[in-house]
Amino acid sequence: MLILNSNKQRKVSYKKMFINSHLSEFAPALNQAEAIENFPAGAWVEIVGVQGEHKFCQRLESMGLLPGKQIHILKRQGQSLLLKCEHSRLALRLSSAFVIQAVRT
Amino acid sequence: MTTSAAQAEWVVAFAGNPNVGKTALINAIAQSRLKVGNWPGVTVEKKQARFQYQNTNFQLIDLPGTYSLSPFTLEEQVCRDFLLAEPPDLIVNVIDASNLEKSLYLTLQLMEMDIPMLLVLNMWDEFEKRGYSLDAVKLAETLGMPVLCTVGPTGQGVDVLKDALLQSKDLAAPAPLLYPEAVEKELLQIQADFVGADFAQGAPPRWLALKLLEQDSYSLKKIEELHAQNLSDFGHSSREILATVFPDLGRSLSRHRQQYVSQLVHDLVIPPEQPKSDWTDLTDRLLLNEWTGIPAFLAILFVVFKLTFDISTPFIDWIDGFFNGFLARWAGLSLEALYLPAPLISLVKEGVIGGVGLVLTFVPLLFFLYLFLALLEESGYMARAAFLMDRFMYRFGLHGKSFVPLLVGFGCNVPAVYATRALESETDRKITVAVMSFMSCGAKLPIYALFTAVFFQRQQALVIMSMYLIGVAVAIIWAIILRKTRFKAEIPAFVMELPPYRFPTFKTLWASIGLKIRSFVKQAGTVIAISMILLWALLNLPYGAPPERTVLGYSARAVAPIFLPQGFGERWEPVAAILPGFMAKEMVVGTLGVVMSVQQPDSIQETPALGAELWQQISGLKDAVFASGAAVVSNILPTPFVLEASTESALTQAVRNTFTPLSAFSYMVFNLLLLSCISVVGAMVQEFGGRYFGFVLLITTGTAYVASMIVFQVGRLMGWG
Repeated sequence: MLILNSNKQRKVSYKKMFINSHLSEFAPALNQAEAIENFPAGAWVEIVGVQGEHKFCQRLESMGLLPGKQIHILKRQGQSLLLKCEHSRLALRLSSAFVIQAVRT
Repeated sequence: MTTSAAQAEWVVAFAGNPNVGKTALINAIAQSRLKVGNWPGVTVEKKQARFQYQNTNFQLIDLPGTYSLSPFTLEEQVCRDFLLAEPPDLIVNVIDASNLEKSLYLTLQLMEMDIPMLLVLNMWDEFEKRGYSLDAVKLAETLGMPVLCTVGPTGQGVDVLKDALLQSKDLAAPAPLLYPEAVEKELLQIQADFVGADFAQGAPPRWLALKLLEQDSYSLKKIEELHAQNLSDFGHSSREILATVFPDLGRSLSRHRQQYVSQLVHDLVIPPEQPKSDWTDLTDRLLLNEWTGIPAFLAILFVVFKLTFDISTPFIDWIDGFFNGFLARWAGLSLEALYLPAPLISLVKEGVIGGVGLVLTFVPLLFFLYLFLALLEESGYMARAAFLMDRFMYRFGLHGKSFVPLLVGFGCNVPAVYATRALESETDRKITVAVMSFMSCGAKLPIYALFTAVFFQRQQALVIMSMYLIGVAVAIIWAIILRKTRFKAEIPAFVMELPPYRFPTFKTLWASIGLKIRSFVKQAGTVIAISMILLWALLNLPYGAPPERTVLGYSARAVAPIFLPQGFGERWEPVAAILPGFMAKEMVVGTLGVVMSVQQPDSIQETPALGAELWQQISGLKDAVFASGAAVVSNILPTPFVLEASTESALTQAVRNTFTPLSAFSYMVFNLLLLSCISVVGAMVQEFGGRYFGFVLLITTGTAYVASMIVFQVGRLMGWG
């Protein structure tokens, strides 16, 4: 088990190490971002954030939908979206697409 | 090294994203000796193959396709559980060379499992065709594992892979990716706490410490189950400390992996100067188009089902004739020559040979259905079909991929049960298979034909059509009910990858079909054959008694009053036909004939020569091959079906005297909604286990009872009785 007073020191030093490098990564872009469901078919967008239910977001990211990626919205059909990211084509329902925030490129 | 039975085996697990060609690669290595089973307790297919190479025995295990080791689907759970509970000697990580970045994310997670690894860049030809190049040597150096390039379907690079498997015995596990200093420090701290704990022997300590930091509850639960140890005390303070820097540590760590992969791909892959046009995009423009997509889908499905049923029918008829005609007759004659008792001869002929024959009649149908479904799946079209149909299916709580099994159900419910395998989520599969039972299968048509010919001659087509529509309506209602009740908590967020179009090779198709057919004959076949023997006992005991004095006759008399609200409980004969109908719907009409004493079971009139009849069977098979071939070219266009029993006979007369138009309609609805046959039972038990089958049996039988009662009672109130 850890000793408490050393915890405090570690906390402070870690904060110094990471405060500037982590959270603010995509913050400016997030302000202008829109949910990916709002873009028309044919649009080219860049993902700036994937926010929502933890497991589902992790799933999307593991399928390649990551912040910084260029996405081509191939189709909006009925309740589904068809996206192309790198060489993958991914279909997702509009009802769950709101977790992906993007800006037009 | 893992030891199995008497001989030591080198256990190699093939892991990778879905659709990267793992199975084809294993097939190429082990020369199609793949065996299929289920992973314990779940309906995910487990494929494995054993082969010997230069005096070393290998066991190759095809892990289900997975994007991440933080499980989202059942397949991913299975993959993770296997790596934890039975760590293999080597992981072959198969990746799609064209999708390096996405695939390498899983590679980094696998590297944390502390198991020696080989990286296989499959589909290398597609990667090169696209004009890309890659410094594979540098990739191997960076990741600390051998890297090979292969083309699974053609077998290119497979020999090198076999040699690499042989040499992998001296391979060390790759060094895992390093995280930010703060995380690494805490990981060491947690691992120090593990010293002396039993569970740390089983799971890689660094990986376990990482899961504690990520709070990956599923993995922790699995370790706790495996080692009966509570893990919640470990890593608590480290988590607390790191939370100040990384509010969502799990995501931050996975982001870290992804950033590493992005950088690696950026450094090592040289893209083409001019990206080449992608024929998948061009084809999608036609097949997913707003106007042409749905018609193309319907046309493809029509051709598939038409061909499946038309090509297989001559073979089904031949197998039926071979078993129930030729084999049963000669077995009977041989047993009579041995002076065996008549009941035993009848049991062998009708129970045993009839049962085995029934199982085998499904083989041609399943063979062609699997062939076409595998063709759709392997070519990449199945995922497109699901995408197209999702817009309709989601309204009923179903997945786009549910459409195909439901449609197959109209032909035969048995292959439809297996067709649900295309669905990734267990919940979707369960809902689909439950509602699929309401699709009116082809074997129910003779029942409608008989009753409509007697009572609804003018509106025959309309009444038969109404049966199909009632089935669909009930299926929709149940899909909505099940999604809102039993499976309420499990609505999966829909995300699906559409793989690029690929030409399937005969080898991959054959491997997939052969495996499934063998498994059907072995598992579902046993249930079906045993049930046929039981049915024989019901229909024939006490032996030689008239129909009303058999076990079936007595039971039907006792049960008949239950069906008074449905309008057909006044006489015992309709009720007697229900049970054999449960064995096979084809038997309803036949049993009605027997119990109403208007037709006798077939009897043997003469004793022809064995040689002549054998020759007849062989030429019959030859004719079936030709007829099947002719069906491919001539039967693409729809043909109207010919209704049997459309002429007046003793049976139609007896039916007219037993039923009224309303009770006949109610009887048809009852049979429509009841489970099709014992073969469906066999398939469902094999795929979903006895418990879920019990649930399906309950809802189908309950619905059939209630719906036919509503039909009869409402009809009576409206004055149609």
